Amino acid sequence: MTQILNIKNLKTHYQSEEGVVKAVDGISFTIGENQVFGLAGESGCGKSTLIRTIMRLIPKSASVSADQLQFKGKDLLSLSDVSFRKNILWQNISLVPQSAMNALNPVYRVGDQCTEAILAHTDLNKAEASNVVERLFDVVGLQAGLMKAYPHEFSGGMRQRAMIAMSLVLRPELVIMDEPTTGLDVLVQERILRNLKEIRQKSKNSLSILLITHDISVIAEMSDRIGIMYAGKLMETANSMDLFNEPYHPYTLGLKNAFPSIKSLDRELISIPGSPPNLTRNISGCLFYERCPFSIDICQEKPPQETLVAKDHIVQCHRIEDVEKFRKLAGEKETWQFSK
Amino acid sequence: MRLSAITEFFSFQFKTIKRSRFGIFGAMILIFFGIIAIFAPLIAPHELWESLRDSSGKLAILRQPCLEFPMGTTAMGRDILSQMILATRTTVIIGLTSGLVSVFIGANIGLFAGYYGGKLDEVFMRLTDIVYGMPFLPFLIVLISLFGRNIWFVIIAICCIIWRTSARVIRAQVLSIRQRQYIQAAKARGCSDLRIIFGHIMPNILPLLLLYTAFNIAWSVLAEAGASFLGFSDPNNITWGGMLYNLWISGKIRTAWWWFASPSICIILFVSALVFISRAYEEVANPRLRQR
Amino acid sequence: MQEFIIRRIIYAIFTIFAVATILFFIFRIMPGDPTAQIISPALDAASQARMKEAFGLDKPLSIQYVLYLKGLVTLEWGRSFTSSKPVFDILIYRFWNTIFLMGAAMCFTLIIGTGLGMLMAWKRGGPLDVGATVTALILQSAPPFVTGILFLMILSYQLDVFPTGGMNTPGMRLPSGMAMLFNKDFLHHLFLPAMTSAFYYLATPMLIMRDSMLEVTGSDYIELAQAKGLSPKMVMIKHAARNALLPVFTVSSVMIGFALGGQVIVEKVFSWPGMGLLIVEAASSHDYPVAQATFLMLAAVIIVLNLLADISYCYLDPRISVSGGKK
Repeated sequence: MTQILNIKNLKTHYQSEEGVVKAVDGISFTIGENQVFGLAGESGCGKSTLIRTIMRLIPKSASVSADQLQFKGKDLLSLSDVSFRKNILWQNISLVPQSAMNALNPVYRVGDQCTEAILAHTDLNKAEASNVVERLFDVVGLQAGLMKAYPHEFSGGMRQRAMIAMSLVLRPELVIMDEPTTGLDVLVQERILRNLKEIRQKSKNSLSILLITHDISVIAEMSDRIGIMYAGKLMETANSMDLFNEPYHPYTLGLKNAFPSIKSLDRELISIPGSPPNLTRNISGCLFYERCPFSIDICQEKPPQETLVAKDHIVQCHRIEDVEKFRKLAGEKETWQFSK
Repeated sequence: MRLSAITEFFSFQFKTIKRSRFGIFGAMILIFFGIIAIFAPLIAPHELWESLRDSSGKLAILRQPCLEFPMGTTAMGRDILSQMILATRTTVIIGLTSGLVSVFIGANIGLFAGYYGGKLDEVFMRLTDIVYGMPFLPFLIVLISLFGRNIWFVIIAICCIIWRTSARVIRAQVLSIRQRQYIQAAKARGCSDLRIIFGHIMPNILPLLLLYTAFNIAWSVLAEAGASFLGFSDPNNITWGGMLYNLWISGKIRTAWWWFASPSICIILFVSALVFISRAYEEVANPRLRQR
Repeated sequence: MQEFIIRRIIYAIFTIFAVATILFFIFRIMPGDPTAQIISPALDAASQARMKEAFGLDKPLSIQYVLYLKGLVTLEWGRSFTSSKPVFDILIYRFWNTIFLMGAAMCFTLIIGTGLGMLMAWKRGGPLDVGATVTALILQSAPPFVTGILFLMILSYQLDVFPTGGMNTPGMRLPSGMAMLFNKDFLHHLFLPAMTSAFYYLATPMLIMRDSMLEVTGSDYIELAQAKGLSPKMVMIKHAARNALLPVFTVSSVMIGFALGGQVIVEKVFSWPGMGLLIVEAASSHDYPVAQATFLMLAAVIIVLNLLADISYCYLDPRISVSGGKK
C-alpha cells in the first residue's frame, strides 16, 4: 500500500521568553491510501502545531526538523515556499480548520471563497469552478443557492459542511480535519460524521483523512488507525480495534475511563489527575511520569523507546510486560487517586 | 470614595504609563509644562506687555535670540521668553478645564445613554448627531464673534462641542459591558442603577476614559490655538496661538523665524506629549496592540 | 436595508434643521440689539425701521422663526452687511473652492494613509512602522497653521517652488467649471494647502489601518486563505485589507467632518478663497448674515457626508445590510 503521508521523527521547536518550547518532539506515523488516521490528545498536546507544521503555516522563527516528512514519497521539507504553495497546498493536502465560524471571511460570499482556490490553482474559468463547487455542496448536503450567501447567514453545522466542501474542491488525497465536530450539538455532529463516511465511500479517487480531536467517541467511529498524542509525542499508535481491545499505554487506559459508556451506565467517570507538563521544561524521563499511576524509577530517568508490541501497534512505555495487570487496575478509581 | 480606591487609581496610572516608552516621554514633558504653568509669574523675567530696551538704550525690536533675550523679541520689543512662560499658564488652564469638563459631560452621557437604552439613548444620540454636524472651529469663531473675546467663552465653546467623541465611544463600550454576566448578577442582587453604573461599569471603562481625557485636552489646546491664530482669543491673556496671531498680523512672518519657532514647538511638544500618553493608555485598553 | 437608508436620510434632514434652529437662537441671544443680526447698523434710523418691518423683526419670535426657515429653504439668505451682495451668490462661489481643496486633501490622506498603514502592519516593528508612527503623531500634534507656515517658509519664501497663496496667480484668469481642475496654475496653487491639510489628518487613517490590519491578520480566515495556497499578496490585499478597511471607513467619515472645520485655518494661511476664509472674514467684521449662512452650509455638508458614509458602509459590510441595518 502506498503511503500518502510518511512522518518520521518530526520536531517543531519554538523560541519563547521562557525557553525552547518543544511543541512537537519526535512524532512518527504514516497514513496509507484511503485511510483515516485519528490523532487524539488533550488540548495543548501539540496537535495544532503538528497540523501547521505539515502545512507550513507556522512562523518562520520556529525550527522544524525531521528524518522524513514525505507526501507520496515526495520530500516536503526540501520544497521551496513558492513550490509548496503552488503545488502541495490544497491540491494534495487540504484543511478543515477548527472553528469554521471564524475561518470564513465575513465580507465575501461562501461560494466565492470556495471557487477562489480552484481559480488560483487551475485553468478553469469562473463558471466551471462554480459547477465544481455546486456539485460538492450537493455532496455535503447544502443547497446550491447557499453559494451566494454570506457566512453569517449560515448555522454552525452548515458552515462546517461548507468547509468540508471547500476542502475537497481540488480533490486532495489528504484532508486534515481539526476538531471537525467540536462546538456542534450532538445531532449535527452525527449527521456530519455520517456525511463524511458517505463522501469517502463515493469518492472515486483515494481520500485519506488525518482526523484530530480530543473526542474519543468521534475517533472511535471514524478512524482506521489511531495515535494518542501527549505533550508533543505519540504515546501509542495502533489500528482502532487493537487500541480499544488491547490498549497498552497508561495514558490510553486513563483516557478510556474518562468517557461514559452506554454499556456500563453505572461506571463512575474517573479522570486522570494533574495536567500536561510545561513544554519548555527539560524532562529527562517519560513525559507522562507525573500523572502515571504505574511509574517506577526508570520512568523518571530514561525516556521510553518506541516498541512494537503487536502487529502495527507501537507504544512508548517502560512497563509493557505488566500491561495485563494495568488494564485491570486502570478500571478502579483508587488507582488514579494519588499525588506525586 | 475610599482612600484605598484613590491610591489604587493613581498607582494604576503610574504603572500604565511606566510600561510604555511613549508614556514616559509624554509624562515628562507634561510635568515640565505643568511646573512652568504653576510658577509662571515667578519665572518670567519681564512683564507681558512691556516694550523693552536693550543695554544700549535702543528699543529692542525684532531681536534674534541672544543672551539678553534668549528667545528673541517681537515687533513691539516684547520679550518672547516671558510671553511664552505666561502663555504656558493660560494654555494649560484652558486645555485642562475644557478637556476635563468635556470628558465629564461626554462620559456621563455615554454611560447613561448606554446603560438605560431606549428613549433616553435615542435622545442623547440625536443630540450627539447634531453636535457632530457642527464644525468645531467655525462654531468657536461664530460664538466668540457674537459674545466677545473672552477666555471663558473660549472654554465654554470648546466644551459645547468636544464631548461628542467620548460620548459615542463610551456609549459603545457600555453597550457591550452591559450584557456581561457580572452586571446581570449585580442587578439580580438588587444593586441600584447608579451603583451599577459608577461602581461596576465605570471601573471597566477607565482606560478608555483616561485615553479620551488625554485626547480631549489635546484637542482643546489645538482648537484654542487655531481660534487664537485667527484672531479670536482673549486679548488680555496671551496664549501660544495668540503669539502666532501677533506674528502673522505684524507681517514679519518671512523673517522672524524665532518668533514662529518658540510657540510652534511648544504647541507641538505639549500636544504630542498628550498623544503619546494616550497611546500608552490605548495599549492597555486594547492589548492586541502591545508588542509581543 | 431600504428602511435603514430612509431612516438615516430622515435623521440627516432633522439634524440640519436642528442646527439651523440652534443657529437662530444663538444669533438672537447675543448681547446687544438682536435686530443687528439682520439689519446693518450702518443704515439710518428710517431705513432701519422700514427693513425691520420688511423682515418681520417686529413680530413675535415664533413668526420670525418660520420666516427664517422659509428663507433658508427658498435660498433667500439675506444680504451681506459689508458688501450688500446677496449672501447666496457669495457663498456659492466659495463653496466649490473649499470642496476642491478638501477633496484633494482627503484623497491624499486616505490613499497615502491606508497604503502606509497596510505596509506598516505587514512589516510590524520595523523601521517603517516606528518611524511613520512617530512622524504621523507629531504631524497631528502640529496645528495646520504651523505646518502650513513651515511649508510657506521653506518652499515658498526661501526656495520659491510654490506660490505663497491664493488660488491663482494675480492677473491670470482661470477657466471655469471642470476645466479649472486641470489647469496647471490652479494645481500649482492647490498643492501646498492640500498637502498641509493632508499631513495633519494623515495619522488617523494610517494608524487605524495599521491597527485594523494587525487585528485582521490574526484571524482564522487569513490562515485559511494561506492554507488554500493563495499568494501572500492576494492574502494581504484581497482578504486582510478588505476587512481592515471597514474601520478606516467609519472613522474617515467623521474625519472628513472634522477636516471641513479645520479648513478654516488652511484657507487663512494660504489665502484660499473658500468658505473657511469667508467665515473668518465675516466673523471678524461682524457680517452676521454671511457668517450664519456659511456656518449652516458647512454643517449641512458635514451632515450629508456622514449620511453618505453611513449608507455606503452598508454596502461594504454585508453583515449590516443583510440583517436590515440594525447597528
